Parts: sequence; structure tokens; C-alpha cells
Amino acid sequence: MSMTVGLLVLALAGPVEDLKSEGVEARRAAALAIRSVDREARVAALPALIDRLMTEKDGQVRLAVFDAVTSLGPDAAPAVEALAHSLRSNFGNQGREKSHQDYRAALALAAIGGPAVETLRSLLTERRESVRAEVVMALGRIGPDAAPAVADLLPLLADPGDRIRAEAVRALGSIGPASLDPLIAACSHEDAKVRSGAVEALGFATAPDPRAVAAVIGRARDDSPEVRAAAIRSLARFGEAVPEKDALTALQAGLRDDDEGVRLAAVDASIDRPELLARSADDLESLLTAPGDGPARHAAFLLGRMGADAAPRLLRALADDRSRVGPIADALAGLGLPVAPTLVEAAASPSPRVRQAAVLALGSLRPLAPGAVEVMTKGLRDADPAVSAASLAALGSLGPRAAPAIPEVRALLRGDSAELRAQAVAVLAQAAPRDGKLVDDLMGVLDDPEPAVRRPALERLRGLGTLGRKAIPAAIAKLNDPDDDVRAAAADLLGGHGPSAAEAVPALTAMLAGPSPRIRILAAETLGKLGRSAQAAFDPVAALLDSPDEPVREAAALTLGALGLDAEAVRPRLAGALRDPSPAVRKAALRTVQRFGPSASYFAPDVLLMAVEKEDRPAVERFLKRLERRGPDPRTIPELTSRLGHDHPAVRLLAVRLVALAGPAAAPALPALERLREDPDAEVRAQARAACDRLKPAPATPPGEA
Amino acid sequence: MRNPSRRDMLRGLGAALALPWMESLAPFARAAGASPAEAGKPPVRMCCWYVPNGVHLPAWFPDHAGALVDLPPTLEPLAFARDHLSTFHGLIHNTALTNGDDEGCGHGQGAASFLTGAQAAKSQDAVRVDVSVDQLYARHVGGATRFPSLELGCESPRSGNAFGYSGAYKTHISWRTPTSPAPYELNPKVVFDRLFTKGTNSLTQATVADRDFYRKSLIDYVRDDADRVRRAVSTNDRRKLDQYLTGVREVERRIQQAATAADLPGDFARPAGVPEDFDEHLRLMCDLMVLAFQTDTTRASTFMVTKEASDRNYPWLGFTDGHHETSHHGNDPEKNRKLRAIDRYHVSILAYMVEKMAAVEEADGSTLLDNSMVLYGSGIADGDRHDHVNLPVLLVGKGGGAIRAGRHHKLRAETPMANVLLTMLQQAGLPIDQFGDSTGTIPGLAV
Repeated sequence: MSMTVGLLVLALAGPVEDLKSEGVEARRAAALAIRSVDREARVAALPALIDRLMTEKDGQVRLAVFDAVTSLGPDAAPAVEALAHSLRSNFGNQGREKSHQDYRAALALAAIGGPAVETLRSLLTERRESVRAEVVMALGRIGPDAAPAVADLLPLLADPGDRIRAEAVRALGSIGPASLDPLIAACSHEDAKVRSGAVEALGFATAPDPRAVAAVIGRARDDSPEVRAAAIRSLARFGEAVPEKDALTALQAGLRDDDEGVRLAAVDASIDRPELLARSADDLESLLTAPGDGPARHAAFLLGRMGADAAPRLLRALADDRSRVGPIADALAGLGLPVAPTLVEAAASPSPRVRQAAVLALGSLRPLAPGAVEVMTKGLRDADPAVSAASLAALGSLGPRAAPAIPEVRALLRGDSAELRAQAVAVLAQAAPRDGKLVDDLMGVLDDPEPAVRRPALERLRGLGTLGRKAIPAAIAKLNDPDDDVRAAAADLLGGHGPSAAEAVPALTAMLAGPSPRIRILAAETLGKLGRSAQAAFDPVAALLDSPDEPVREAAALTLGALGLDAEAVRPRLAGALRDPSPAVRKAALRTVQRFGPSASYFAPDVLLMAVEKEDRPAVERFLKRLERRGPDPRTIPELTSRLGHDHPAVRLLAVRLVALAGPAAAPALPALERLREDPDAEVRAQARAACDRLKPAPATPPGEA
Repeated sequence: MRNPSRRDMLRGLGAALALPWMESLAPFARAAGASPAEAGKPPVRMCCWYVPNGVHLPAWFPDHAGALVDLPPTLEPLAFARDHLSTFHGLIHNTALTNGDDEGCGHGQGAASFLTGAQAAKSQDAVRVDVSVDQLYARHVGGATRFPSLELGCESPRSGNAFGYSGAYKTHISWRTPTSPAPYELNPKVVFDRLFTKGTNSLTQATVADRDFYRKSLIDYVRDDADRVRRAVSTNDRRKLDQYLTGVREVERRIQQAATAADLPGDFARPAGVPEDFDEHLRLMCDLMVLAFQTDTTRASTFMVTKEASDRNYPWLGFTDGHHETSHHGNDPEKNRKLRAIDRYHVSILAYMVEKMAAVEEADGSTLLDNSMVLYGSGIADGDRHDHVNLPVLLVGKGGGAIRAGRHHKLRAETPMANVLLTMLQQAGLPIDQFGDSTGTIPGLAV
């Protein structure tokens, strides 16, 4: 043994030994230590790492071992079988943790390269799809050395699983020359899925072959859109290897394609070839007026990436009514600040479509162009409603920077268009959230004829927090609005103010008898948000526990716990809800009980009865666990004692446990507990015996034995 | 008079205001054998944002791989920066899973692994994860700047232990060493003073106290130096300097406003300088990061919008439900609507900073945004399931031309998020081929 290797073995002795440790932390530390040492040391540790792969169950140890093995590349060839074993076995990890380990194991095999190919091929028949996918990935990573696997991979181009198919496409491309002829042949396969996979795979070759390029060009006119899109993507990957004329033809045809996937492939490819894009400018301009939204939108997008020179083309297209203003405005904004002066000028164009696009583009342009706010503000007064709407939308995207336009926006609140009035509400709130007049502005539209205006006004007032307190009386009035959504927004606003909105209690109480469940729920929930100030509504809220509608009962149960009342007042009304046929209502009632904190123990006799339902038992047990320290409320001992005779063993069992916690105060329960020593349920008997032993007073010590 | 350089500062009693890049300074810097950053080639800045509780995933991911033609609703506020945006589908943080430990809630693990790609040790006392991406970058470039890194956050970093994991994992994304988290600063005033105050001696502290008491501006203290620079630079640079000083003054004014605002009722004592308005707090932190980057005071920053598992509410969005509570949506459409509103709001704050970065012109005519990598995301994907698969992560910026942006990357299953972090580090110039549990780089992200 050389001195260097001897030192290595010495340095590694600790971690290698620790890899076998019983303690998982020691094994994790050892695996991380081995992963971090230099290469020679890792090679020396390989046998220990292989051993670990065969048996280790801890995910963190395994991942560190995989990394250490992967880092050795071909030197880790002795680990091939252990890695294959990892892929075939589940070491206790589930779901994502397992699939990620498969990935790391496959990566290690890929790093080993040629010596792993046969084993990987044997794994292609594994049952789990994720394992097969990782195996295909690994073969692709190995590249030309995986040539023997080409015959296995080709059929996977038709695999029903998208993931395996995608991996096979990449793998066949990466393997290179050995897959070239079969892939070219597969470009003419009758199955479009196979054709598109083959065409795409050819594009992944590291060195494009002229025959591959020719085959792909031919498929750019395939009947199947999937194949055409794949061809365009592959042509893009081939780059300069494709004759410019062919590339241009394919891209231009792709941009006119009816299929969105094909067009998007062409858009993506065009961005990478600015010289071809420039030569397509006329074609793109003509597409701006083409039928169908798709081609025009994508043409506008590309023109928006061509620099300021594209602005005249975009503006020119607006003269044609067939063009679409929105995408053109987006494209103009995409040209950036250099076109800002052009846009400012265009905003004064005689054409309303040009003015509309100009203000929209100025609204989207960032950083904000000088003079843009003035142009948009002026646009608010435009004679054409589309331009004023566009100006308002553009201002809406500016937030507080739209503040100079506030007077004009405010004027729109009284305009004829309900849509503009609603939009103006939003813009005002965004532009001047702290403006003292905002509350008045918003309150001013609460009687707007359109609910679509009243509702956002209330929502914005709600968002102002304490600043909107002035609107409470108006919001109370809106609780009687004919529109349900407006009433909901008003209630939400009032609820947001909590006890400060106490004056709303009578109106909300009246709503509890409203016509629809939604309104009754809303009223109950809002009263709950008002807290103690809504205590006067207790009885009407409690009455809702008898409602035939489950969500209404649920809301009522929750609200009873939010009014700040004593447990003594609430318990008689809530007891029924804890036995409600609906699990949701019972759950809500139990949540309400828990809100009473230490006083929740007063509800224990009722909560115990929930144990009749199997699904409620875990919640009841959690509830009782919280009572362990304090024990039950002494006032409830008689009721708890009666629960000891309940028909259901789960109730008796929990009652025994609870009574046992009461100490001397549970003395009156002893006879009942004694009877349970003979209970048919074994667990009840055991608990009862333990409880009796605990509660019985210790026998008096005979004199003289002290 | 000596010619000014980028490394010069506008100085006054206890004040030190770094200069932004100006074209007039470049020749002097080059002649003086300055570093590329000083001579005109902008440095790469790295900024990492964290949002807790995952997102509503259907509104987060673009539909199609490739060019970002259509943005999903949550990302729409970033539409103006789509050419600088990279989005990813298929990222996982395997190291946020328990991997053998009996249980874990996923919140702490998600945050701990977010920038480290490493497994948090299950312990309530001795934390251990690994060095985070920002700190690794800070080590690489930090010597060139006044502060190696800046760690900011907007929510009190107190958090309880959970499921056997230390609460520290939920409140830190930046780790200087495997066992030393980098605590974030909550108070914009402290950050401002740190960025623009020279020294820590008693005279400096007295000057700051005097400035605070009389509500004077830092600009008043450096006025003489600013005039000297004004006289030495071009007209265009004079305009740029004035814009910069106005920007600093505006941030200072807002901080002063926060420092004098009434305290919140109840027991919560808000430190002077922390705005009552959370939205303003977030925006101030963004402004401070931009100023720090603009003046090359630091090149690495992290921003924890709120701590992991935060239940903060956002009443200005029209509802008061807590974030964490809302994230447990149980597929309730109303909860999902609220979750989308919170997600979009967070992204709109990112957009606020991104817009500021796009407005800062750098030495070569590019923008600060061009030369940055702003990573944004969460260590949890779906807050309802606490999983770490298909993490919502995006990158804004072109890393000085090293990032091929403007695309949605649909990645193969099991792609570690550390692959994004490794790509960022490599493209920022670090000669490494492994980070955390990375298995390679993101195909097509590097130029």
C-alpha cells in the first residue's frame, strides 16, 4: 500500500465506519463527509458506498451517497448493479422522495457512461413509469456510447406516456449518428406522434447532419400541426445550418398557420433570428389585418420586438378597421421609451383607433414616458368613448402616478357610461388612496343606479380601513340594497370596522330573517365580526341553529362564539349544534367551544356526546387533552356522571377519563364508576378500575403503624 | 481640483453619498487603472426575493414554452419587462422534503433550501443548511463594494419552532455559512443611514441624531461636495446627478415621514422609520435596493417580503384574511381568488422595483435591469399541500447580457431549482460547476 493511499484510508476510516452506524445522524454526517473529500478518497470509499446503497433506508444518506458516486463518473463502474438495485427497490421513501432518488440513481449511471448501458437497457422494462423515464434520460445523457440502445428507444416515440416520449426524443437526439438513419426514416412514419418525435429528436443532435436538415424542412409542411411545430423548433435548433431561404419560408408559413402551437413555435424561432425577423417585416405587417385573432396577435408581438422602426408599421395598420387595437398597443409599448414621442404625437391623431392605441401603449410603457399622464388625462375628455375608456384604463395601471388626473377621473363618476363609472371608482382608489376626498367620492356613488358601480365603491371603502369609517351609516343603508352582491359588500365593510360599527347591529339583526340563506349567513358572520357590541343579536342568531340550511346553522354556531358572551349563556343553545346531523355544523360548534378558552370545560358534557360519531372522536380527544391540566368544571360533575351510563362505549370511556381528572370533586361519581368495572367494553373496564383506584380515599392507617 | 471618480463620495459631516455612474467619470476612472465597473463596464447585480406560502399555481405559469407572448394573470404587472423575464415550470426543491426525517411542515425547509439547494438539519437549537447563492456571489464580488451584501425584509423575523425545526429556517433565506443565517434588516431608516452615513463613531451618531431631530436632509450635508462634482461634469451628467439627489431626497423624506407617524395602538411598538403602511414599507425597501445597486454600494441583496408561513393580511386588496390561512385554499374558489390577488400584489411590488431598475442608465448605455439578475419566488409551490414541486420561480434581468431572457422554460421533471441558482452564479462569473443539489444548468437560459 502506497503512503498516499494509506493516509487516505486512515482519514476515511472514521466516516466509512460511521456509514454503518446505527445512528442516522452519524450516517448522514459520514455520507456528507465522504461526498466532500477529494476524488482519490472517494474512490477509496466506493466499496463502502456500494454497500450502503444496498441497504440504506434514510433519504438524506442515500442522496449524499448518490452524489458521491456520481462525482466519480466512470470510476464508479463497480457501482452499476447497486445503482440498478436502487432503481428497482423502494427503500421506504414514498412519492416525490422516491422518484427523486430514482433520478439521482439514474444520473449516477449516466455519469458512469458506457459500462452502464446494458444495465440501463435491462431497466427499460421496469414496471414504474418514472423509473423507465429516468433510465431513458440516463441513456440520453450517455450520448453516442448509448448507441446499442437506439433500437430500444425508437418504439418509445409512440409511448402513451408523455414523459417517456419526451425523454426518448431527447435521448435519441443526443445519441447522435447511430440514431440518424432510423430517425430520418421515422419522419415518414404513419403515426403523427412518431413523426413529430423523430423530427424533434433530429433537432437535438449536437452536430446537424444535412440529411437531417432536409428531412426536417420537408416536415415543416406536414399535415399534422404537431409535426409542423416540431419541425420549426428543430429548424431553430439547427440555426445557421438551415439555408436562409428555407428557414424564412418555414417561419413565415408558421406565422400564418391556423394552429396556435405552430405559430408559437414560429414566434419563438423568429426571436432567435433577428436577421430573418427583419426580412419578415412586410409579411408581419400584412398579418396585422389577417382574419383571426391569433396570427395578428403574434405578428404584433414580433413587430414589438423589432425596435422603434416598427412603430410606423404598427400605427399604419390601425388605419385598417380589420386590425386589432389591443395587440398593436401592446406591441407599441414593447418598443420602449424611444417611441414615446411618436406615441404622444399619435395620441392627437384624427383617427380614434390610433388615439386609443397610443394612450394604451403610453399606459403600458415603463419607465413612464414624460408627458404620458397629461396625454391620458386629455384622453379622458375624448369625444370617442373608446378613447376615453382606454385613457382611463391606462391611468388605472399607473397607481399613485395618476394623481394629476384625479379631477378629470372624478368627473367621470357622473358620466353616462356605467362601465366608465365603475372603472373610475377603481382608478380613484388606486391613484389617491390617502386623498381626503376619496371617501366622499366613493360615498357619492353608493346610490348609483348600477350595482356594478355601487359594489366596487363599497369594496374600495372597505379597503380604506379606518379612513372609511365615515361611510358606516351609508353602508348600513346599503344592507337593504336590492342587489345581493351590494348587500354583501356593505356587510363586509361593516364587519371590517368591528365594534366601531355597532350601530349596524339592528339592521344586521333584521337581515337574519332575510329571504335567502346567503343573506342570513352574511348577517350572522358580520355580527360575529362586531363582537361584544352585537350581543343583543344573540337570540336571533341562536334561532338560526334550527334553520333547515346547513351553512346557515354552521355560520350561526360560529357566531355564537364571537359575541363575547359567557359560556353559561351560550351552552344551552350550542348543545344541540354539537349533535347536529351535519359534520360541518358540529365542527363549527366545537370551534366555538374552543374559543371560550378555560371556560370551554363547561361544555364538556355536551362535547363528550360527539364521540358517538366516529369521525368526531379525534377532535373530542384533542379537546379533552386540553382539559387534562385543569380537569373538568366542578359544576359539570353530575352531568359527566350521567354520561358514565351512556349507551355508547366511546362516550363512557371518555367520561371515565374526564371524571378521573376531577380528583376529590368526583367522589359522587364513584358508584357509577364502580359499576363500570363490569362494563362490556374492556377498555372502559380498565379505565374505570384505574379511575376508582385513583379516586378512592386511601384506607385509614391503623394506629401504631404510622 | 482633483477629478472626481466613481469611487468618490459626496461627503459631509457624518454623511457619505456614493455617486451613480456618470459618463464624465469614466475617462478618469480608466486612466486611473480602475476596475471595469469604475471604467464603464457595469457589474452584475444579484437580488433574490422571497414570498412565503406558495402561490395559486394555475395563475402563475405561462401556457406555452418559449417566447413570453402571453403572460398569466399573476405575472401581468411585469408585462413591460417581458423581454427581461424568464419563467420556469418543473423546478423542484428536493432538499425541502423530509428525506427520511419523520415529519416537517415544509415552511421552514422551503425557505431554508430556497437559495441554498441544501437540506435543513432537523433541529430546534443548532441550525445547519448551507451557504446561499447571494452570499456566494457576495464573496466573489463583495470586496469591490462598500457592503458585500444587503439583507432586507418587511416583517418581524420572530418565528416559533415547528415540527422539530428551528423557527430560524422560516425567517432566513440568506446564509453566510452553513450555520450562520444572515439576519435581515426591517427598518428602512437603518438601511438608509447605513448606506449614506460614514463611520460609526460618536460624532457620526450625533450628526445622524441631529439630522433626525431637525429633520434636515442628508443632501444639505453634502451640498458643497455635490456642487464641486456638478462643476466638473457634463451637462447631461449634471442632470443625472440632480435626478439622483432628488431621488435620494425623496426616499429620505418618506423615511422621515414614517419616523414621525403615530405608533400603532396596542402592544406593537413600531420602530421609528418603519412605515405603518406595509405597501409603503415594501416600496421603500425596493427604492433602497435600487439606490444601493445604482451607486454600486453592494452587488448582492436578498429581500424577504414576509417570513415563511406569514399570516399577514392585505386589507387594501379588499379582504382581511391572513396569507397563510388563505394559502390553505382547499380548492375553495373564493380563497383562490384572494390568493391570486395577494400573489399579483407581490408581483406588482417586484414590478415597481424592476421599473426603477429599468430607469437607471449605466455606463455603457444599458440599464441597471440589463445588468441584474432578480430572482423571485417561493420555496413552497402549492400552499395547500405544502409541496415543493413546480416551484413558482422567475428571473428578471439579463445579467449583463449573460442571460437569454424573454422565455418560459418548461423543464423536465425533477429539475432541481439549484440548477437555476448554478446558472445564475456561472453567468455572473463564478467558476463553479456545482451548487447545492444541482445536476447541471438550465438549458437555454445562459447566452
